Amino acid sequence: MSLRLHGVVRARHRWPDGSPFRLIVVDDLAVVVSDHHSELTEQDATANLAGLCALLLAGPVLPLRIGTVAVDEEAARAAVLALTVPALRAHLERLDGLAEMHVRLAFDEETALRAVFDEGAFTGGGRDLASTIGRGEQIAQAVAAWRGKQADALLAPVSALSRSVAMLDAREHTEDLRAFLVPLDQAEAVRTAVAGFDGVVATCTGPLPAFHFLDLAPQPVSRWGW
Amino acid sequence: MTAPAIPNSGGLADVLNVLLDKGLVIDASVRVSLIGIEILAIDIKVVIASVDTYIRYLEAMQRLEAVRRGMSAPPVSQGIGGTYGLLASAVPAVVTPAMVAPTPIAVPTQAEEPQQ
Repeated sequence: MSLRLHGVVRARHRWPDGSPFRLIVVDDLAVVVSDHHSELTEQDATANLAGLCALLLAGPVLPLRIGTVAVDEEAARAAVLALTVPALRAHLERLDGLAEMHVRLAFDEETALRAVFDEGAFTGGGRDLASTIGRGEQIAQAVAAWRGKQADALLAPVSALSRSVAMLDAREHTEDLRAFLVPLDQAEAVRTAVAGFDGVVATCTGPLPAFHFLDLAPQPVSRWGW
Repeated sequence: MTAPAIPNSGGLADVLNVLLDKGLVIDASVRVSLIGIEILAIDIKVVIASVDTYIRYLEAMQRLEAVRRGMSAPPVSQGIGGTYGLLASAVPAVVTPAMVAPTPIAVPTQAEEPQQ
């Protein structure tokens, strides 16, 4: 039977009760797997992600690309070895005690457009459909810039709790989506801070494995040793 | 210290689409030699309606400008789904009713076919 590969953990990772996964040990690491029965659905992917989140509470998890499948245990082991064990070990060390939190801010469109209008840069309409769309695109860019400034100010306390921030693509110009790499014990503080935002619809999802903070490229090493 | 709560499935479904192309990938050149490693695709629907949004924004600016000048404002726009005079309704599902003020929009009635 083929296997879904979900992530890489330390072999000594404390296993939560009721986990849908099992481990295949490779050296002092282990690949997190589950049986692959049929086509991967959105529900499967969500359930697998929830399983990884539960694992995260007991130690660092390096997530593999969602939907990675191996024909058997030997292929799963080979997949981990292909990622190079020392690099994986170093990244587990780097991400130990950290988690990714997503914060989405959805600003009111009328408020955003009024703020852009008040700046006085946009008057009149386009001469034809192409120029209308072009002017609309310029307005969208101005809305996105306004939204970014608002989000920067609102999210300053969350940024202060974070080790790193990744800007993500939101669906709308009035939406801001960011991933924060935060200490696991600060996850609730982030959630509380986001819950207190006024004048914006704010949602917070996490703690998640550090999907946006994985970089297995070799880190430059200083010749001076720091 | 209390352990942080595990995110619920609703929240995870929302973030899934931004995680699909993330995570560690077995190098493509290695995958060839590792028999049976593959990445399955998940069908996630993403609606992109940029043009609709651009037109809606511009119409909103025109509305604000008309209000500033004390002129009667054009009808509230709803993008392609209900825009006035730019494009015919093509993607009604894109319109978010909660985002627009409900204003009566004249819907042209179809001329009756002459009886044969």
